[in-house]
Amino acid sequence: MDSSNTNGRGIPAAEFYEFKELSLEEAEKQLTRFQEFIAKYRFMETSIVRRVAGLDEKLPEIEKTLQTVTFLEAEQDENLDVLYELDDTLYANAQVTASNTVCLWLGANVMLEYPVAEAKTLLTSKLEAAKETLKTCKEDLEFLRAQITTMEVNTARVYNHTVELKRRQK
Amino acid sequence: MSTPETQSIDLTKLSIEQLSELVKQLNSEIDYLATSSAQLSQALTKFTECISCVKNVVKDENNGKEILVPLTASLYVPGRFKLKDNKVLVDIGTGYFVEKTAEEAAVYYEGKCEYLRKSIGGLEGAIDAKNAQVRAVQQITQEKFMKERKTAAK
Repeated sequence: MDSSNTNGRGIPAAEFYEFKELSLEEAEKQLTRFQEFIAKYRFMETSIVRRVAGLDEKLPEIEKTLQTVTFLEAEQDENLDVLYELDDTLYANAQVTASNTVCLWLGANVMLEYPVAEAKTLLTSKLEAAKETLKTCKEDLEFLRAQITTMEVNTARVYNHTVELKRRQK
Repeated sequence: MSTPETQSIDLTKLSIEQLSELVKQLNSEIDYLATSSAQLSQALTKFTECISCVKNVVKDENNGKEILVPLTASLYVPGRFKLKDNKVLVDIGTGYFVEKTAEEAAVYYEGKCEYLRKSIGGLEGAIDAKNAQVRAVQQITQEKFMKERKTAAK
């Protein structure tokens, strides 16, 4: 088992509970403690799963935008004929005027105009950050699943011990 | 429409647990139909929007007007509206796109809206029928419950 007490993002590691003999009250106490831990781990797992889903959606979007900006950079001095989305299933023609600036929608009703090169740098850094976050989230998820398993093993062992105790008492 | 299965079983022959199971099943079916109905209404709103888009935007007088052209969901470029032979491109599903004039596109979207309105109407009818079934089952459950209390009290 890892000697580190938390993983990179401050998630506490689950200790493997060793015991030789356990009284019934002590066992019950430990079982409640384990259940609490498991609940907390599961909660963290759900929130991370949600984050991963959001990132999975945004990542291809950023890649597409970056590709388009690179293309625009190459065709900077030409007027392009394009088909753009007017509505969900409706597309219309337009002519893009040659320009060295693009407008990026940053969310929260904010749109900024950037020179093409700066837009490309911004998008590349956003893409890298998103990929990095995705990687750490997936690592966290792995770690959490291991901790949940450890806790469940603890619960099973303590529970079996209580069964043994009750059997002996009869 | 074929008679729903529940009515070919005599409701009075079922036990109270079976009746409550039936109510649960009917309620989950109602939820599903309600969600589908909501989704269809959403689609209906979108298509109605498309109709007004086509009617207001695709006009000769808008030709050459300055617009911000969306190239992706977060990338916009300055440009001019260009009307090529009064044509727009309509996504008719399964990866097929058709070039239509503004009038043809409006007719197409009208047809879609009509179809959606009919489907929503059908769904609402089905929901009403299921609600009636739920009420009938609940009534029978009440009657059985009262009967059992009477026999237990004796």
